[in-house]
Amino acid sequence: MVNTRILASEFEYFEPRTINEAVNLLAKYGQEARVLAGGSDLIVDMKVEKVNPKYLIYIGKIPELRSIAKVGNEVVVGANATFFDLIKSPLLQSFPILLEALKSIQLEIKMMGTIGGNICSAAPTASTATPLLVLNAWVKVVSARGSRTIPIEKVYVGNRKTSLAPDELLTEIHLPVLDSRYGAAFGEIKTKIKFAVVIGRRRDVCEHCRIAIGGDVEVAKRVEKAEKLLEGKVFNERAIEEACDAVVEEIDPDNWYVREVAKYLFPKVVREAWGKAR
Amino acid sequence: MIFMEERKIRLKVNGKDCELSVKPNELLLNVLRNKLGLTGTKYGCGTGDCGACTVLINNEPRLSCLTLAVTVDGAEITTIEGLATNGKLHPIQEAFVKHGAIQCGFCIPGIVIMAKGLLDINPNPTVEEIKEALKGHLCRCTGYINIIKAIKAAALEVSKG
Repeated sequence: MVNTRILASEFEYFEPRTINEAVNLLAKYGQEARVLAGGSDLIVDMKVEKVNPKYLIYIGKIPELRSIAKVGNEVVVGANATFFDLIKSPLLQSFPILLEALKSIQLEIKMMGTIGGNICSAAPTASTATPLLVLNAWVKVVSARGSRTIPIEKVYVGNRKTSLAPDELLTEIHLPVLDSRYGAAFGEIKTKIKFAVVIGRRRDVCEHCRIAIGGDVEVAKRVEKAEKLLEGKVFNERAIEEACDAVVEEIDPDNWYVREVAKYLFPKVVREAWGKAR
Repeated sequence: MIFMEERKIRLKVNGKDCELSVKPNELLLNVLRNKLGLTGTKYGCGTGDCGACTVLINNEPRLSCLTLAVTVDGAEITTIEGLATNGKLHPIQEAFVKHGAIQCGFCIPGIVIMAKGLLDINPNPTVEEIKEALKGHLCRCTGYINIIKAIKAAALEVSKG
C-alpha cells in the first residue's frame, strides 16, 4: 500500500513565468519532466507511483495561459483555464454542451482542474473530451522547435495517451462557434458512458451529424460509422436504431452493463440534439 | 537521489501572515497540520475522493492533499479554524450544530469549508445544488440529510447578514 498522506517522490521543481521559459525547460528535460497544472490527476498519479518525473514544471504562474477570448468566429481558451473559469465565462455560454459536461465535476475539482490538464490526461472518461470532439475543437501546442495545431480527435491517440511530443506544451484550445442552426446535446451516466452529439437538419432529413463517445471505452472518439448512418437520411426511429447499434459496437462486448445503458442513453441524446436543430 | 531545495513561501493563513520553508514535494495539507498545528483539516483518502482536506485557497474550495505548498506561495488560506470570529461560530457552523449535522465529525471540517465556498459563489443554492456540491465529500455517519438541512439553513442566515 502506498501512503497517500504524503507525496514521497522527489523532483526538481520549476515555476516558469512565460510560455517561452516553460518550453525551454521542456526542451531540456522533456522525457523526464511532467507539466503540473491543477494537480488533481498528476499528484494522484505521482502518489501512487504511476509516474515518477524527475522534473516538475508548474504552469500556474503563466498568466497568458489562463485567458479566454473571442477571436473571429472562435473562442480561444488558455490551457490553464480552470473548469470554474469556463463555467463563469460569458464567452463559454455559447457552448452549452461543454458546460453541461462540466456540471458533474465536484466543486473542488472545478476550482483546481484545467481544460488543458483534462485534455493531456487523455482519460476516456474526461469531462471535456466528448463535447470538444463534436465541437470540432483544435489545440495549439508549442515547443522550442516551433508551434503546430492539432484537431482534437488527433490528440487522443490511446488510453491516457496523447500525440504531444515530450517537449511540447499545450497552450490554447480553439472552439469554433457552432452554426446557430445546429442542435447539440450531451448526456452521461456517471463515468460509465458519455455521448455528445451535434446535428444539422433540413426538414426531416439529418444533413450533418457528429457523434462522440467517452466513458468506459479505450479512448474518447468520434464514431464516424454511426454519423454516416444518420447523415443524408430521414431522421426516424429506424435510423436512430442503426446508429445506436454502430455506437454500441465501440463498447467491449463483455461490458454488458455499459452496453445496456448506452442503448438507453444514446437515442435520448440524439433526439435531444435533433430537437434543438433548426 | 535528487536534491530538493527548500523554498521560502509566504501564506496568509486564517488572516495571519506566515513565512515558511517547504520542500517542493510537501503538500499543503501537511504544512497546515504539521508546521502550523492546524489539525482541523483532515487527511482522508489522499486521492481526491473524500473531500476531508478541503480548504479555501484565495476563497476557492480546493483539496489541500493534492496541492503542493510551493504552488500557493502568496495565497490566502482559510481552514476550519479560521471561520469563527471573536469567539463566535460562523453561521454555517451554528447551523451544523443546530441541525445535528455532525456525528463522528471527521468529514465536517471539509464539508463546512466547502459550504462556505459554495455560498460565496451561490448564496441561495437549491437542495439539488447542495447535493451536487456534496458529491466530493464522503460522510459515513450522517446519511447527509441533516448536512443538507444545515447548509440550506445557513444560506438563509448568511443572506440575512
